[in-house]
Amino acid sequence: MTYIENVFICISVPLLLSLLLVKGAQRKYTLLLCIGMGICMVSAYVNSYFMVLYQVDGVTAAIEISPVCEEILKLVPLLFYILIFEPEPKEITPAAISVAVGFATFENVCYLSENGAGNFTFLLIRGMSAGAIHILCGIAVGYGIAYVFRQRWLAVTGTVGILGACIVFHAIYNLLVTAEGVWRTIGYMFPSVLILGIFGLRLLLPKIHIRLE
Amino acid sequence: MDNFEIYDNAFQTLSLMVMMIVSGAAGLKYSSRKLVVLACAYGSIMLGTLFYMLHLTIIGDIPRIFYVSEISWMAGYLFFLFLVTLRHEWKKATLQPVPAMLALGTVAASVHSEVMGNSVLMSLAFGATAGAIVYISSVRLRCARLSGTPAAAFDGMMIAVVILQILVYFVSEYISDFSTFNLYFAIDILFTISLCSLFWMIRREVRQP
Repeated sequence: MTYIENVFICISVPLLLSLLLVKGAQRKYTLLLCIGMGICMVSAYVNSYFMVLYQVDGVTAAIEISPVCEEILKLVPLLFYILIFEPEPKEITPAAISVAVGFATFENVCYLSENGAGNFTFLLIRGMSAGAIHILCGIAVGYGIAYVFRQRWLAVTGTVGILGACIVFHAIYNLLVTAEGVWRTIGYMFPSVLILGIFGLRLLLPKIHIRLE
Repeated sequence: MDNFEIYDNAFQTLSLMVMMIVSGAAGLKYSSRKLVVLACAYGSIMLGTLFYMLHLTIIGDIPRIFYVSEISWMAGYLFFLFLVTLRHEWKKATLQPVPAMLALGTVAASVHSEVMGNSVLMSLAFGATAGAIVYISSVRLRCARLSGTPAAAFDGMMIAVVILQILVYFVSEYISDFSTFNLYFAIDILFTISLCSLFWMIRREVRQP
Protein backbone atom coordinates (compact mmCIF):
# COMPACT_ATOMS: atom_id res chain seq x y z
CA MET A 1 0.00 0.00 0.00
CA THR A 2 1.26 3.47 -0.93
CA TYR A 3 0.62 6.22 1.59
CA ILE A 4 0.53 8.98 -1.00
CA GLU A 5 -0.81 11.55 1.49
CA ASN A 6 2.37 11.10 3.52
CA VAL A 7 4.49 11.61 0.40
CA PHE A 8 2.50 14.76 -0.35
CA ILE A 9 3.15 16.09 3.16
CA CYS A 10 6.90 15.32 2.87
CA ILE A 11 7.17 17.25 -0.40
CA SER A 12 4.87 20.15 0.37
CA VAL A 13 5.97 20.96 3.97
CA PRO A 14 9.41 22.38 3.00
CA LEU A 15 7.78 24.40 0.24
CA LEU A 16 5.09 25.68 2.61
CA LEU A 17 7.74 26.56 5.21
CA SER A 18 9.60 28.56 2.60
CA LEU A 19 6.48 30.77 2.26
CA LEU A 20 7.37 32.29 5.66
CA LEU A 21 10.67 33.56 4.31
CA VAL A 22 10.00 34.56 0.70
CA LYS A 23 7.81 37.38 -0.56
CA GLY A 24 6.04 38.64 -3.67
CA ALA A 25 5.86 36.58 -6.84
CA GLN A 26 8.06 33.77 -5.45
CA ARG A 27 5.64 33.22 -2.56
CA LYS A 28 2.63 33.23 -4.91
CA TYR A 29 4.10 30.74 -7.38
CA THR A 30 5.40 28.42 -4.62
CA LEU A 31 1.93 28.35 -3.08
CA LEU A 32 0.33 27.66 -6.47
CA LEU A 33 2.84 24.84 -7.00
CA CYS A 34 1.77 23.25 -3.68
CA ILE A 35 -1.89 23.74 -4.60
CA GLY A 36 -1.21 22.00 -7.93
CA MET A 37 0.28 19.02 -6.05
CA GLY A 38 -2.71 18.96 -3.69
CA ILE A 39 -5.10 19.04 -6.65
CA CYS A 40 -3.27 16.04 -8.13
CA MET A 41 -3.92 14.07 -4.94
CA VAL A 42 -7.58 15.13 -4.83
CA SER A 43 -8.05 14.18 -8.49
CA ALA A 44 -6.70 10.68 -7.72
CA TYR A 45 -9.54 10.27 -5.21
CA VAL A 46 -12.13 11.64 -7.65
CA ASN A 47 -10.84 9.35 -10.43
CA SER A 48 -11.06 6.35 -8.10
CA TYR A 49 -14.63 7.30 -7.17
CA PHE A 50 -15.72 7.36 -10.83
CA MET A 51 -13.79 4.14 -11.55
CA VAL A 52 -15.81 2.36 -8.88
CA LEU A 53 -19.05 4.09 -9.91
CA TYR A 54 -18.77 3.05 -13.58
CA GLN A 55 -16.99 -0.27 -12.85
CA VAL A 56 -14.19 0.35 -15.37
CA ASP A 57 -10.57 -0.79 -15.58
CA GLY A 58 -7.47 1.42 -15.24
CA VAL A 59 -6.98 1.92 -18.99
CA THR A 60 -10.55 3.11 -19.61
CA ALA A 61 -10.30 5.36 -16.55
CA ALA A 62 -7.01 6.85 -17.81
CA ILE A 63 -8.51 7.53 -21.26
CA GLU A 64 -12.01 8.71 -20.44
CA ILE A 65 -12.28 9.66 -16.76
CA SER A 66 -8.89 11.10 -15.64
CA PRO A 67 -8.61 13.87 -18.29
CA VAL A 68 -12.07 15.20 -17.43
CA CYS A 69 -11.54 15.17 -13.65
CA GLU A 70 -7.94 16.43 -13.75
CA GLU A 71 -8.53 19.36 -16.09
CA ILE A 72 -11.67 20.51 -14.24
CA LEU A 73 -9.93 20.29 -10.85
CA LYS A 74 -6.83 22.12 -12.15
CA LEU A 75 -9.03 24.98 -13.31
CA VAL A 76 -10.66 25.45 -9.88
CA PRO A 77 -7.70 27.08 -8.04
CA LEU A 78 -6.89 29.19 -11.09
CA LEU A 79 -10.46 30.49 -11.30
CA PHE A 80 -10.38 31.21 -7.56
CA TYR A 81 -7.15 33.17 -8.01
CA ILE A 82 -8.54 35.11 -10.98
CA LEU A 83 -11.93 35.89 -9.45
CA ILE A 84 -10.74 36.77 -5.93
CA PHE A 85 -7.36 38.44 -6.51
CA GLU A 86 -8.13 39.90 -9.98
CA PRO A 87 -4.53 39.68 -11.23
CA GLU A 88 -3.11 41.45 -14.29
CA PRO A 89 -3.42 39.42 -17.53
CA LYS A 90 0.37 38.90 -17.62
CA GLU A 91 0.20 37.20 -14.19
CA ILE A 92 -2.46 34.64 -15.17
CA THR A 93 -0.42 32.44 -17.52
CA PRO A 94 2.50 31.93 -15.03
CA ALA A 95 -0.08 31.11 -12.33
CA ALA A 96 -1.74 28.50 -14.59
CA ILE A 97 1.68 27.05 -15.42
CA SER A 98 2.60 26.87 -11.69
CA VAL A 99 -0.54 24.87 -10.88
CA ALA A 100 0.16 22.60 -13.88
CA VAL A 101 3.81 22.09 -12.87
CA GLY A 102 2.79 21.20 -9.31
CA PHE A 103 0.24 18.77 -10.68
CA ALA A 104 2.72 17.15 -13.09
CA THR A 105 5.41 16.89 -10.38
CA PHE A 106 3.15 15.08 -7.96
CA GLU A 107 1.78 12.87 -10.75
CA ASN A 108 5.37 11.77 -11.44
CA VAL A 109 5.88 11.13 -7.71
CA CYS A 110 2.76 8.92 -7.71
CA TYR A 111 4.10 7.07 -10.76
CA LEU A 112 7.47 6.51 -9.05
CA SER A 113 5.77 5.26 -5.88
CA GLU A 114 3.78 2.71 -7.87
CA ASN A 115 6.34 1.57 -10.44
CA GLY A 116 9.74 2.23 -8.90
CA ALA A 117 12.63 4.33 -10.19
CA GLY A 118 14.78 1.67 -11.87
CA ASN A 119 14.45 2.60 -15.55
CA PHE A 120 16.09 6.02 -15.95
CA THR A 121 15.53 6.43 -19.72
CA PHE A 122 11.84 5.59 -19.51
CA LEU A 123 11.32 7.83 -16.49
CA LEU A 124 13.06 10.70 -18.28
CA ILE A 125 10.83 10.32 -21.34
CA ARG A 126 7.71 9.87 -19.22
CA GLY A 127 8.58 12.77 -16.96
CA MET A 128 9.17 15.08 -19.90
CA SER A 129 6.00 14.11 -21.78
CA ALA A 130 3.69 14.14 -18.71
CA GLY A 131 5.18 17.44 -17.59
CA ALA A 132 4.85 18.88 -21.09
CA ILE A 133 1.19 17.87 -21.48
CA HIS A 134 0.18 19.55 -18.19
CA ILE A 135 2.21 22.65 -18.98
CA LEU A 136 0.65 22.84 -22.47
CA CYS A 137 -2.83 22.68 -20.94
CA GLY A 138 -1.77 25.32 -18.37
CA ILE A 139 -0.49 27.61 -21.13
CA ALA A 140 -3.70 27.15 -23.16
CA VAL A 141 -5.95 27.91 -20.18
CA GLY A 142 -3.82 30.78 -18.86
CA TYR A 143 -3.25 32.45 -22.21
CA GLY A 144 -6.88 31.92 -23.26
CA ILE A 145 -8.32 33.46 -20.09
CA ALA A 146 -5.76 36.28 -19.94
CA TYR A 147 -5.66 37.50 -23.53
CA VAL A 148 -8.30 35.95 -25.82
CA PHE A 149 -11.48 35.56 -23.73
CA ARG A 150 -11.28 38.44 -21.31
CA GLN A 151 -14.49 40.26 -22.20
CA ARG A 152 -16.89 40.32 -19.25
CA TRP A 153 -19.47 37.49 -19.31
CA LEU A 154 -18.13 36.28 -22.65
CA ALA A 155 -15.14 35.01 -20.67
CA VAL A 156 -17.34 32.20 -19.28
CA THR A 157 -17.99 30.83 -22.78
CA GLY A 158 -14.32 31.04 -23.71
CA THR A 159 -13.10 29.50 -20.44
CA VAL A 160 -15.47 26.52 -20.68
CA GLY A 161 -14.48 26.14 -24.33
CA ILE A 162 -10.77 26.12 -23.58
CA LEU A 163 -11.39 23.63 -20.73
CA GLY A 164 -13.15 21.29 -23.17
CA ALA A 165 -10.28 21.54 -25.64
CA CYS A 166 -7.74 20.80 -22.87
CA ILE A 167 -9.74 17.76 -21.69
CA VAL A 168 -9.68 16.11 -25.11
CA PHE A 169 -6.03 17.11 -25.69
CA HIS A 170 -5.10 15.41 -22.41
CA ALA A 171 -7.31 12.41 -23.30
CA ILE A 172 -5.52 11.99 -26.65
CA TYR A 173 -2.16 11.91 -24.81
CA ASN A 174 -3.45 9.32 -22.30
CA LEU A 175 -4.95 7.24 -25.11
CA LEU A 176 -1.67 7.23 -27.05
CA VAL A 177 0.58 6.38 -24.09
CA THR A 178 -1.66 3.51 -22.96
CA ALA A 179 -1.46 2.00 -26.47
CA GLU A 180 1.44 -0.09 -27.75
CA GLY A 181 4.16 0.42 -30.37
CA VAL A 182 4.27 3.48 -32.60
CA TRP A 183 1.19 5.07 -30.95
CA ARG A 184 2.99 5.15 -27.59
CA THR A 185 6.10 6.68 -29.18
CA ILE A 186 3.96 9.39 -30.80
CA GLY A 187 2.24 9.94 -27.45
CA TYR A 188 5.54 10.48 -25.65
CA MET A 189 6.95 12.68 -28.40
CA PHE A 190 4.19 15.11 -29.35
CA PRO A 191 3.87 17.11 -26.09
CA SER A 192 7.61 17.85 -26.06
CA VAL A 193 7.54 18.80 -29.76
CA LEU A 194 4.61 21.17 -29.10
CA ILE A 195 6.40 22.73 -26.09
CA LEU A 196 9.41 23.40 -28.33
CA GLY A 197 7.07 24.89 -30.94
CA ILE A 198 5.50 27.22 -28.36
CA PHE A 199 8.97 28.19 -27.11
CA GLY A 200 9.93 29.05 -30.70
CA LEU A 201 6.73 31.10 -31.16
CA ARG A 202 7.40 32.91 -27.88
CA LEU A 203 10.83 33.93 -29.14
CA LEU A 204 9.39 34.98 -32.49
CA LEU A 205 6.18 36.79 -31.46
CA PRO A 206 7.68 39.81 -29.63
CA LYS A 207 9.72 40.51 -32.76
CA ILE A 208 6.61 40.78 -34.95
CA HIS A 209 4.66 42.76 -32.29
CA ILE A 210 1.42 40.79 -32.05
CA ARG A 211 -1.47 42.61 -30.37
CA LEU A 212 -5.01 41.28 -30.64
CA GLU A 213 -7.60 43.88 -31.63
CA MET B 1 -9.15 -0.51 -41.36
CA ASP B 2 -11.77 -1.01 -44.14
CA ASN B 3 -14.15 1.29 -42.35
CA PHE B 4 -15.34 4.42 -44.15
CA GLU B 5 -15.95 6.12 -40.79
CA ILE B 6 -12.19 6.23 -40.19
CA TYR B 7 -11.55 7.78 -43.64
CA ASP B 8 -14.33 10.31 -43.04
CA ASN B 9 -12.92 11.22 -39.61
CA ALA B 10 -9.40 11.41 -41.04
CA PHE B 11 -10.66 13.82 -43.73
CA GLN B 12 -12.38 15.97 -41.10
CA THR B 13 -9.34 15.93 -38.80
CA LEU B 14 -6.88 16.87 -41.56
CA SER B 15 -9.13 19.57 -43.04
CA LEU B 16 -9.77 21.19 -39.67
CA MET B 17 -6.11 20.92 -38.63
CA VAL B 18 -5.11 22.81 -41.78
CA MET B 19 -7.85 25.40 -41.17
CA MET B 20 -6.80 25.77 -37.52
CA ILE B 21 -3.19 26.51 -38.53
CA VAL B 22 -4.25 28.85 -41.36
CA SER B 23 -6.78 30.64 -39.16
CA GLY B 24 -4.35 30.96 -36.25
CA ALA B 25 -1.60 32.30 -38.52
CA ALA B 26 -4.02 34.78 -40.13
CA GLY B 27 -5.23 35.79 -36.65
CA LEU B 28 -1.67 36.66 -35.64
CA LYS B 29 -0.98 38.34 -38.99
CA TYR B 30 -4.05 40.59 -38.83
CA SER B 31 -3.98 40.80 -34.98
CA SER B 32 -7.58 39.58 -35.10
CA ARG B 33 -9.28 38.09 -32.05
CA LYS B 34 -12.06 36.73 -34.32
CA LEU B 35 -9.63 34.63 -36.36
CA VAL B 36 -7.87 33.37 -33.20
CA VAL B 37 -11.24 32.31 -31.73
CA LEU B 38 -12.13 30.63 -35.05
CA ALA B 39 -8.80 28.75 -34.84
CA CYS B 40 -9.77 27.63 -31.31
CA ALA B 41 -13.13 26.38 -32.65
CA TYR B 42 -11.43 24.47 -35.47
CA GLY B 43 -8.90 23.07 -32.98
CA SER B 44 -11.57 21.86 -30.57
CA ILE B 45 -13.67 20.12 -33.21
CA MET B 46 -10.51 18.66 -34.77
CA LEU B 47 -9.27 17.30 -31.40
CA GLY B 48 -12.68 15.75 -30.67
CA THR B 49 -12.72 13.98 -34.02
CA LEU B 50 -9.06 12.96 -33.63
CA PHE B 51 -9.78 11.40 -30.21
CA TYR B 52 -12.83 9.59 -31.60
CA MET B 53 -10.84 8.29 -34.58
CA LEU B 54 -7.84 7.21 -32.44
CA HIS B 55 -10.15 5.48 -29.96
CA LEU B 56 -11.83 3.64 -32.82
CA THR B 57 -8.44 2.68 -34.31
CA ILE B 58 -6.53 1.77 -31.13
CA ILE B 59 -9.25 0.41 -28.82
CA GLY B 60 -11.56 -0.77 -31.63
CA ASP B 61 -14.67 0.80 -30.09
CA ILE B 62 -16.18 4.22 -29.43
CA PRO B 63 -15.72 5.92 -25.98
CA ARG B 64 -18.59 4.84 -23.72
CA ILE B 65 -18.01 6.19 -20.19
CA PHE B 66 -17.41 9.95 -20.37
CA TYR B 67 -18.30 11.86 -23.52
CA VAL B 68 -14.76 13.13 -24.16
CA SER B 69 -15.16 13.78 -27.90
CA GLU B 70 -18.55 15.37 -27.30
CA ILE B 71 -17.02 17.69 -24.67
CA SER B 72 -14.54 18.86 -27.30
CA TRP B 73 -17.18 19.31 -30.02
CA MET B 74 -19.25 21.20 -27.47
CA ALA B 75 -16.19 23.41 -26.77
CA GLY B 76 -16.00 24.10 -30.52
CA TYR B 77 -19.58 25.40 -30.48
CA LEU B 78 -18.85 27.51 -27.39
CA PHE B 79 -16.06 29.15 -29.39
CA PHE B 80 -18.52 29.71 -32.26
CA LEU B 81 -20.94 31.28 -29.78
CA PHE B 82 -18.11 33.50 -28.55
CA LEU B 83 -17.36 34.44 -32.15
CA VAL B 84 -20.94 35.33 -33.13
CA THR B 85 -21.36 37.30 -29.89
CA LEU B 86 -18.09 39.12 -30.57
CA ARG B 87 -19.35 40.14 -34.03
CA HIS B 88 -22.81 41.21 -32.84
CA GLU B 89 -23.42 44.80 -31.84
CA TRP B 90 -25.65 44.65 -28.77
CA LYS B 91 -28.14 47.53 -28.81
CA LYS B 92 -31.51 47.07 -27.13
CA ALA B 93 -32.23 43.78 -25.37
CA THR B 94 -35.54 42.90 -27.05
CA LEU B 95 -36.54 39.34 -27.80
CA GLN B 96 -37.27 38.87 -31.49
CA PRO B 97 -39.99 36.22 -31.98
CA VAL B 98 -38.93 34.60 -35.28
CA PRO B 99 -35.24 34.09 -34.32
CA ALA B 100 -36.41 32.94 -30.85
CA MET B 101 -38.66 30.30 -32.44
CA LEU B 102 -35.76 29.15 -34.64
CA ALA B 103 -33.56 28.91 -31.54
CA LEU B 104 -36.19 26.91 -29.65
CA GLY B 105 -36.54 24.62 -32.67
CA THR B 106 -32.77 24.08 -32.60
CA VAL B 107 -32.88 23.14 -28.90
CA ALA B 108 -35.80 20.74 -29.49
CA ALA B 109 -34.12 19.13 -32.52
CA SER B 110 -30.83 18.75 -30.60
CA VAL B 111 -32.50 16.99 -27.67
CA HIS B 112 -34.68 14.85 -29.95
CA SER B 113 -31.70 13.72 -32.07
CA GLU B 114 -29.56 13.15 -28.93
CA VAL B 115 -26.86 15.27 -30.56
CA MET B 116 -24.27 14.69 -27.85
CA GLY B 117 -24.93 11.04 -27.14
CA ASN B 118 -27.42 9.49 -24.73
CA SER B 119 -26.86 12.13 -22.06
CA VAL B 120 -29.83 14.53 -22.02
CA LEU B 121 -27.69 17.07 -20.13
CA MET B 122 -25.06 17.16 -22.90
CA SER B 123 -27.74 17.37 -25.61
CA LEU B 124 -29.45 20.20 -23.71
CA ALA B 125 -26.13 22.04 -23.27
CA PHE B 126 -25.44 21.68 -26.99
CA GLY B 127 -29.01 22.71 -27.82
CA ALA B 128 -28.70 25.85 -25.69
CA THR B 129 -25.36 26.80 -27.28
CA ALA B 130 -26.50 26.03 -30.83
CA GLY B 131 -29.82 27.78 -30.16
CA ALA B 132 -27.99 30.92 -29.02
CA ILE B 133 -25.82 30.82 -32.17
CA VAL B 134 -28.91 30.44 -34.39
CA TYR B 135 -30.71 33.24 -32.51
CA ILE B 136 -27.89 35.79 -32.83
CA SER B 137 -27.15 34.85 -36.45
CA SER B 138 -30.81 35.10 -37.49
CA VAL B 139 -31.21 38.42 -35.64
CA ARG B 140 -28.25 39.75 -37.63
CA LEU B 141 -29.71 38.41 -40.91
CA ARG B 142 -33.10 40.02 -40.12
CA CYS B 143 -31.50 43.32 -39.17
CA ALA B 144 -29.53 43.31 -42.44
CA ARG B 145 -32.74 42.65 -44.42
CA LEU B 146 -34.72 45.36 -42.61
CA SER B 147 -32.00 47.97 -42.96
CA GLY B 148 -31.32 47.07 -46.59
CA THR B 149 -27.64 46.37 -45.97
CA PRO B 150 -26.02 43.24 -47.46
CA ALA B 151 -26.31 40.27 -45.09
CA ALA B 152 -23.08 38.76 -43.81
CA ALA B 153 -22.46 35.37 -45.41
CA PHE B 154 -20.95 34.18 -42.13
CA ASP B 155 -24.29 34.41 -40.30
CA GLY B 156 -26.06 32.31 -42.91
CA MET B 157 -23.25 29.77 -42.99
CA MET B 158 -23.21 29.55 -39.19
CA ILE B 159 -26.90 28.59 -39.19
CA ALA B 160 -26.17 26.05 -41.96
CA VAL B 161 -23.34 24.54 -39.85
CA VAL B 162 -25.67 24.07 -36.86
CA ILE B 163 -28.39 22.51 -39.05
CA LEU B 164 -25.88 20.15 -40.69
CA GLN B 165 -24.48 19.14 -37.28
CA ILE B 166 -27.97 18.21 -36.04
CA LEU B 167 -28.71 16.49 -39.36
CA VAL B 168 -25.57 14.35 -39.01
CA TYR B 169 -26.87 12.97 -35.71
CA PHE B 170 -30.45 12.71 -36.99
CA VAL B 171 -29.40 10.64 -40.00
CA SER B 172 -27.02 8.50 -37.90
CA GLU B 173 -30.05 7.16 -35.99
CA TYR B 174 -31.35 5.53 -39.18
CA ILE B 175 -28.05 4.09 -40.39
CA SER B 176 -26.47 0.99 -38.91
CA ASP B 177 -23.70 0.23 -41.42
CA PHE B 178 -20.86 2.75 -41.22
CA SER B 179 -18.36 0.69 -43.23
CA THR B 180 -19.39 2.04 -46.67
CA PHE B 181 -20.22 5.48 -48.07
CA ASN B 182 -23.81 6.54 -47.42
CA LEU B 183 -26.00 9.61 -46.77
CA TYR B 184 -24.50 10.07 -43.28
CA PHE B 185 -20.99 10.53 -44.70
CA ALA B 186 -22.28 12.81 -47.49
CA ILE B 187 -23.78 15.14 -44.85
CA ASP B 188 -20.69 14.87 -42.64
CA ILE B 189 -18.37 15.82 -45.54
CA LEU B 190 -20.68 18.74 -46.43
CA PHE B 191 -20.57 19.76 -42.74
CA THR B 192 -16.74 19.72 -42.79
CA ILE B 193 -16.63 21.82 -45.96
CA SER B 194 -19.11 24.31 -44.44
CA LEU B 195 -16.93 24.59 -41.34
CA CYS B 196 -13.85 25.25 -43.46
CA SER B 197 -15.65 27.95 -45.48
CA LEU B 198 -16.20 30.01 -42.30
CA PHE B 199 -12.53 31.03 -42.39
CA TRP B 200 -12.78 32.86 -45.72
CA MET B 201 -15.94 34.66 -44.57
CA ILE B 202 -14.33 35.89 -41.36
CA ARG B 203 -11.09 36.80 -43.13
CA ARG B 204 -13.03 38.91 -45.64
CA GLU B 205 -14.66 40.76 -42.71
CA VAL B 206 -11.32 41.24 -40.96
CA ARG B 207 -9.62 42.58 -44.11
CA GLN B 208 -12.41 45.08 -44.77
CA PRO B 209 -11.55 48.51 -43.28
